[in-house]
Amino acid sequence: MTGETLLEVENLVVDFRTPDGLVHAVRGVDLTIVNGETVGIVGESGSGKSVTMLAVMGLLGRTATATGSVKLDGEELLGLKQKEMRTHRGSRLGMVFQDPMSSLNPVHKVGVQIAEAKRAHSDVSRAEAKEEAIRLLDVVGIPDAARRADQYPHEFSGGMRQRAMIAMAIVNNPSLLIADEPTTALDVTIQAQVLETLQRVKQEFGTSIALITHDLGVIARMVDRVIVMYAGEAVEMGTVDEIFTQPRHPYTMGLLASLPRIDRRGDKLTPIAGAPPSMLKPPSGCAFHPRCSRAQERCSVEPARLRDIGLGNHRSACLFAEQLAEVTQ
Amino acid sequence: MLGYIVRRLLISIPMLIAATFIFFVIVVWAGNPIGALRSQPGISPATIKVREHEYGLDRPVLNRYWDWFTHAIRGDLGTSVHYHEPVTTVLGRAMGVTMRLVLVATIIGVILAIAIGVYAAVRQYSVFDYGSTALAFLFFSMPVFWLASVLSDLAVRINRAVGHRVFFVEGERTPNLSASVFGHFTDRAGHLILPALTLVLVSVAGWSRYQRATMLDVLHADYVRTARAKGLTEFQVIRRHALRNALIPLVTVVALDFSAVLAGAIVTETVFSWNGMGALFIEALDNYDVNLLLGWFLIAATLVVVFNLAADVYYGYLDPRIRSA
Amino acid sequence: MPDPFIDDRASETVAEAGPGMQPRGFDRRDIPGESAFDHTADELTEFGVTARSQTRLVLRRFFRHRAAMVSLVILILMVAAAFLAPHYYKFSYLEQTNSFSSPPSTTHWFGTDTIGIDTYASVMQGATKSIEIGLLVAIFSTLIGVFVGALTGFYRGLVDAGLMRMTDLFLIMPDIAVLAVVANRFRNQSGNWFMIALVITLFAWMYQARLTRAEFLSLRERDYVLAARALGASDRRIIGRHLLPNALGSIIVNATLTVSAAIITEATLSFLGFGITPPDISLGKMVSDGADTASTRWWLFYLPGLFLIVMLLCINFIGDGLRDAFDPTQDRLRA
Repeated sequence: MTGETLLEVENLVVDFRTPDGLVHAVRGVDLTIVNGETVGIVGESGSGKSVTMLAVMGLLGRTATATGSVKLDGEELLGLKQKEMRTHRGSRLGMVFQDPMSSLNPVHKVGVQIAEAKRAHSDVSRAEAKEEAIRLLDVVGIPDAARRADQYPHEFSGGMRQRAMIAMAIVNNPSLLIADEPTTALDVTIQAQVLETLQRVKQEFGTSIALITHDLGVIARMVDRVIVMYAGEAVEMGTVDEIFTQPRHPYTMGLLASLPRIDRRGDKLTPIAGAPPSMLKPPSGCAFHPRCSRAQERCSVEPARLRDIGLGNHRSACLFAEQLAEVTQ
Repeated sequence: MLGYIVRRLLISIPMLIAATFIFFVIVVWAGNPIGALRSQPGISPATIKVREHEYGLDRPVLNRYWDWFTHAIRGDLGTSVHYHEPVTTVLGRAMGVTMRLVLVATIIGVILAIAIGVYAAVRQYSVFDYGSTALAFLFFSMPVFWLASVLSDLAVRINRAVGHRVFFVEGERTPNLSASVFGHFTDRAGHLILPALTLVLVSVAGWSRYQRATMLDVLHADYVRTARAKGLTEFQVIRRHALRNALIPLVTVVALDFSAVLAGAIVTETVFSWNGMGALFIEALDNYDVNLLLGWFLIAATLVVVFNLAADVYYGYLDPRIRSA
Repeated sequence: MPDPFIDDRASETVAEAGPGMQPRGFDRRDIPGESAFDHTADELTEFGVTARSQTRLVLRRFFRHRAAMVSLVILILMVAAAFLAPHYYKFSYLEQTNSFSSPPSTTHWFGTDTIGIDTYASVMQGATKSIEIGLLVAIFSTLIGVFVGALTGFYRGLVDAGLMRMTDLFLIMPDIAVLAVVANRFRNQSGNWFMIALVITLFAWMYQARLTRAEFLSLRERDYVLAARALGASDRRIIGRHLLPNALGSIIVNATLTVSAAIITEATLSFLGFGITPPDISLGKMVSDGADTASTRWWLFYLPGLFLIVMLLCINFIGDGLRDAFDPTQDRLRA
């Protein structure tokens, strides 16, 4: 039902074992997604945004340990046996990945791959599944769907492939569709098509969407709420408006400030100083403090978690969030 | 696809011709059939001249090659000076023997390599994985002649210890065997065991490692992740997605290795005293039987080309991306 | 069928045992995204990471490869034993002693053969010849191969096409056969090991040329080459400064494996009777001679063979370690 909490992640911690030690990819993330909404998860490479969603899907691999709580419709997913997790993956949870060329199996026809997703979760005949596949290819806007279903991925264009992936992910009408950088590998004009497809899915099926990206432009167009991640932590969370117009975390502010703006020609570009930290030895206290122009002594000592800063659902991890009342045009 | 095959065929033919020419030059340069004769005292120059003419040594290389070539196209590969039979007959006999060994070894080798490689990849870091890796390294570092000799020796020792012949160590069949067709078959099969085992061990060592690496690559591929994201069981993921892709590259490797397997067969035949292409080659070289040598090279090269072509076709069948290219 | 992919429990017990060729339980590709770049030699400062020099990185990764390190030590010991034999061992491979066909003992460590020649001395001599040939072939075929491969890969054109056809030709044949024919020429010359090495080199360079060419073909498309060109770098500079260092990894690995391949080739040739001639000794020849009497005089057959195989194993492990050191991002083909 719209409005109810669909996904609730509490204190998610994901570590990867490597010969050099433990890589702390996700270090205590809280996030919620409500039915029917589109949430954008923004961050640089290495911020842990993909890993968080992979943890939700249970696709982390042998070398990872995930602790905390991940609840889908109240049901705890973390720690489930594979057999049970598989009933959710592909049916209630759908995922679309970054590079559609490598994410589709080159030796199977596209229609077959979509039909396979259907048959994995419902007892339908091959013919029925294929019909579904064709129907969905049509839904995502692929012309001549019946013929296309019998083609191989390399015969599709980049944008079409990504839309086919979306079709594959929604074939069982999932409650949550996770899109991991769906437009990053595509041209700008094609990006629009893919995003439009996601919008259509949302409108027609009411699917909640978790959109992972590093592109703020995409965020601005598509999502209702934003979660900003940095170095394995969620540092700010709020609606699109709140984040863009009243950022309350130096990192978010830095991100916004570093964007070139057409309406402010002639201004110097201001990138964020420094480089992302190593997740083998993350900085102490607030992860951003080495690069923060406003850092104080507290910042390197006190851990910084998302907290209520008196602005309702607009939350920030910055220890000085309340003092950051700056308005960015 | 058809165009692709035709193109490959068209390139192969001039290549084969060029290869035979190079062989010819090498063979001519490398040996002198009457060298021994010359060094003997008391042989008159006239005799030498006659001999030279017999062997065609008094004519320029190109002419001699052209001679051979024009005959070869018509299927006449000349006569073997050593066997006094047409080269085609001699080669035909030997080829049957060797191809038996090569084909059996290749088929068994491929099946084993796939099984071992895939299983080691799926159970990465398991005891099986480490064990098969160690064994692969071991057999990969063994020259074929060594392995063949060791197996031969072990067989002899076992035979002796047991008291009667468990393993066949000599030849490709029992001569003068009177038995039914089935009896002949089992006899030849029995003789095939040790040489085939040699070739299989050496081939599987390399191929299984390659298959393992390919399988690992595939298991970590994005489309496998997608398959898992769809909620398929691991078994389905491996069977329908991973395997289909992982088997393709091996085809190329096996095709490329074919000439190496052939070379290995030559050595193995020597150890087990088989009367195949291996022994034939050595004889031809020892006796400097030019016609036989050339015919031998032609057949060997043709076999490799045909085998590679077959592999290419099969590869096209497996990988739809090639088909449309 | 149980799930090998994701364990049911949060942590997994990694399988023990076996030669530790890769840090246990870790495949770089298990970690999604770029959250785990290569931290091995990176120094962590408060500003992030700084990478150490390439060479040190490579060396450090090589030393981590246990099998390669052990093999290196063993190989060095064996090579030393072989080359220094005349200095510490009583007998020479040329002298005929009075004990015929005697099994290994404290005087004759590996026993003697039918005409009284000490087997240990022969094996050591054979090993030195094998190593010399292996190194010769590897060095020269690499030099020629890299030179040819680099130029054809970089400039393409007619020469490239012609060369590729030629190497294709030689790939068609069973190399032993062609080598045997050529080597046959020198069959009755004594002390022909150098010629044999040369003959093997003649065929070995082609594989290296192909490899280098392939590397250069792909490397020359890289962005840093375009950038260098845009800065006005000459062809020589691009080849020498940009392409070659990046291709060095595969070149070195292949050179190492060429050593073992050349040793095997020479041994096989000698086994068939087309290789090294007296007074030189080859391990292959020893195995060939010893094969007939292997069941009665095992030391004449097994000892030379085992020495050969251990050497080859070591070289292959080292090559594998080098391959890992240069490109650890892929759990690639071993051997």
